[in-house]
Amino acid sequence: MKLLHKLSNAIFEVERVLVIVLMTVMLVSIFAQVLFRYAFNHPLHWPEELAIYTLVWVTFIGGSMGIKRQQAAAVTFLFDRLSPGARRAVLYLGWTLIVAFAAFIIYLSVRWLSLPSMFLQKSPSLGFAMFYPYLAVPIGFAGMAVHSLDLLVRAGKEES
Amino acid sequence: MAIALLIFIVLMLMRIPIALVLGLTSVAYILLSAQYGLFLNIPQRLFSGVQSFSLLAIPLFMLAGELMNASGITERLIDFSRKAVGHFRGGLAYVNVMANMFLASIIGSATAQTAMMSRVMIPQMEKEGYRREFAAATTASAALLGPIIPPSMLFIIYGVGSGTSISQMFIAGIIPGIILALSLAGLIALLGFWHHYPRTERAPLKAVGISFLKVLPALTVPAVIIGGTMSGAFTATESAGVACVLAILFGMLVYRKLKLRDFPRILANAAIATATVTMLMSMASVFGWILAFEQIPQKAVEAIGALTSDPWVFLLLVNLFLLFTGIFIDELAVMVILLPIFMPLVHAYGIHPVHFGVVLCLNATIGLLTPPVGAGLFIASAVGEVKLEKLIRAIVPFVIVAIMVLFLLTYVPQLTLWLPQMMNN
Repeated sequence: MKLLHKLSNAIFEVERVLVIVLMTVMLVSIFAQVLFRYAFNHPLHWPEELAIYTLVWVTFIGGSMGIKRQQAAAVTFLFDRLSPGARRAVLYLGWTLIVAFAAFIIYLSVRWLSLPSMFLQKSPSLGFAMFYPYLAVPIGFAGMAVHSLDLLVRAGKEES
Repeated sequence: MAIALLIFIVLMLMRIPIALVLGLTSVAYILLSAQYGLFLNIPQRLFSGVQSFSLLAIPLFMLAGELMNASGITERLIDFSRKAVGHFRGGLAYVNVMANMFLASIIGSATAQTAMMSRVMIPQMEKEGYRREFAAATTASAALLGPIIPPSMLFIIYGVGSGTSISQMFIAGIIPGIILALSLAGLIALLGFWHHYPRTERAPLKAVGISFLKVLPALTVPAVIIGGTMSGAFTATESAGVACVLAILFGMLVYRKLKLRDFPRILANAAIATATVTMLMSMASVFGWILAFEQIPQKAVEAIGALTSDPWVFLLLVNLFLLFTGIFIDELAVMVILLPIFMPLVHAYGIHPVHFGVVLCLNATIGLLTPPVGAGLFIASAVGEVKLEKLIRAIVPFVIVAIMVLFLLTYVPQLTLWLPQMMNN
């Protein structure tokens, strides 16, 4: 189980680097859009599209990181009033559901991305296959599955 | 559908993140209704829920806020506010409101503001003889200005979810924000005479001037955001991008507190904070699609339409309902879950969507201050080291004033609509 924890930490590090790069690209593209329109009088079309895809990637990768850091918004008032035993049971059940959900989304995404038409869909101004922006969904949920599986295994220890 | 609702409530009470509760409930609904064909659409829905240029304003404003904070701008804003209004009775309480107002024009989130201001203001106010719980209550309630004065995360989310212009929402928030700030200041004046709050020495005019010059570069950021969106030069997203670049320039070159090695941490924090919001919107787009599939919005229009034909009564019902749900659920979640149900009603009653948006957002923000699930309360009590029970008692008058402002804005739509309509002409 130590291995799982190490894997989760390693994935988190990769995710961290990834979102740092994505946020930088996002900021640069939006600023380039403004700059080219006003300073160079030459409106660009690609920055908007590129920035939107970085946001999609930040959403799913950052969403996975939020699970690891347990930073996502949740309703806690009933949970906090439970006895330690009941809490542990709720945690086990909750994390199991999350792992199952993430696995199910990965399965659905793989089926979606392996549709024969997938590589025919191109992004309107950059022209690359939509497969690459779409890939954010399964990759993000894969990270989430590992993080939540790790948290499931550790749920018992944390609360006792 | 009743079973799905039950599942939704149970999952929520299990402390599962709300975004995932929405996803799990949608899956449960599809299973229960045996419409397995719908499953295959889920990944595409998740994707398209966040595929929006307007939503890009969220990460960029989050980033601008983090950058400004790392540049030491919070302290400078407080210093200036203190020299400007600190000499009145209850001076530091006004300083708190004024600094929160400035901060609200840079960042757009009440919880972020509460965290930043609690750390600085609560110890200062206590040192000058205020009760700690009063200091925390002032800080948490002044942070209500965050999502009302532009820029505002809630306005962006409302705009995207309801198809309303975000620039219009930003302009519409200015007057309500000023009204709320003045009302809070009025309450402080009243409490000040009651409790004989201390005042600070009046600062010499020269010191006020110097402090203003120090804060001036930072104030160009809100000037660009508000001026840019009002004049139509920038979209909200573009103004957020420009705000980031200005924040980097001032932080590195003028204030010299922002260092290159801070950037990875700032960027990663902004990304995670963004994802907590956008992930919710992504899941909500699946959930909203299921609601639409079940024709829940149409049924709600019929049910509530049968109840009343008066838009004012409808607004009252919405306000009471939201104040109630805000006690249990996070503000953002309330917004994204209920928007697809509310918007057809708003159009059916002929209510202006900008007016409705401002009312909805203020209401959702007040939910931050109501126990047992008030994020604003938790942050102020944790950062300011105040017992939650004491803080709750101290914050009651502030919440009452905020609710009074809420009803004023609900029933006098001109307060919200006058400025954006004037800008349009």
